[in-house]
Amino acid sequence: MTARIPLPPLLELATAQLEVALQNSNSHVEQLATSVDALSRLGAELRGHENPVVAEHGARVLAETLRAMFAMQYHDQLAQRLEHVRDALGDMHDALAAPVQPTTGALLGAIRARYTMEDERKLFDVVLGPLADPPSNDTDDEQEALRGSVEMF
Amino acid sequence: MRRILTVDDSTSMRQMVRATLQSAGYGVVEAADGQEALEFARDNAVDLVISDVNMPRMDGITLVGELRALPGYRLTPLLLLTTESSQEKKMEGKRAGATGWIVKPFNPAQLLTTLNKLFGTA
Repeated sequence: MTARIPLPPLLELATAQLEVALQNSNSHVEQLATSVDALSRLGAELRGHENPVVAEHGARVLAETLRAMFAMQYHDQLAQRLEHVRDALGDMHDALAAPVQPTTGALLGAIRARYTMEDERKLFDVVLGPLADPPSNDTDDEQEALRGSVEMF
Repeated sequence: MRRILTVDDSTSMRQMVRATLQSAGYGVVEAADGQEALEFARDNAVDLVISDVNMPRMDGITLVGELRALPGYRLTPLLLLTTESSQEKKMEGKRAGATGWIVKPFNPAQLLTTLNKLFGTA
């Protein structure tokens, strides 16, 4: 007879591994953001220099740092996605360990409710089927187009 | 100098918003969640608020509602900056009194253009 797979400790391990990875990565990204911030200040300072050549270099440094800042925000998005996976694993661990287990619908509903991005909800619905909360009809291209969009009310 | 309050639980996001705003000459004050921002706003005036939506203690939409109830913040532009792009959430933000909704990742140049329009300096 084969031994049963110890699911709760494996889920706990996966949750802890994600947590360590997030903490590790976040501290380095904060350092990177501090450096980019310092470079942007330097660029802004040089942009106002009386020597036009220096001022032009300052403007270029500033423009490049703003581009870097845009790209760096994808790390924030990645961190949010990983946090949602970590929390879902934690929910599954808790459900398995509880004396009275929640219904599948309640568990899946709690996991889906944490999502903040439409593509997360869409993927969930594709893999697990839609819950009572209707999925978005936006296509992937529409979702990509929404990134960085500004809507004034 | 115009002063902007930025609210986000991510340190790196706050740094990026601050760097963008300071590059254009704005003064910046930071808060790590809605509760901290509200406590600051009760005793201090700012010209504009840029807030994340999903944060511990107090989310951005609740913060917008609370700020709108303060006499000094009835007309202050309140922008929500978030990864959330669902229409339902946007409408929730609008009903709470938000001025606009920006989906992350934000384009620094576009954010500054938006502020110029709000301040009438475009």
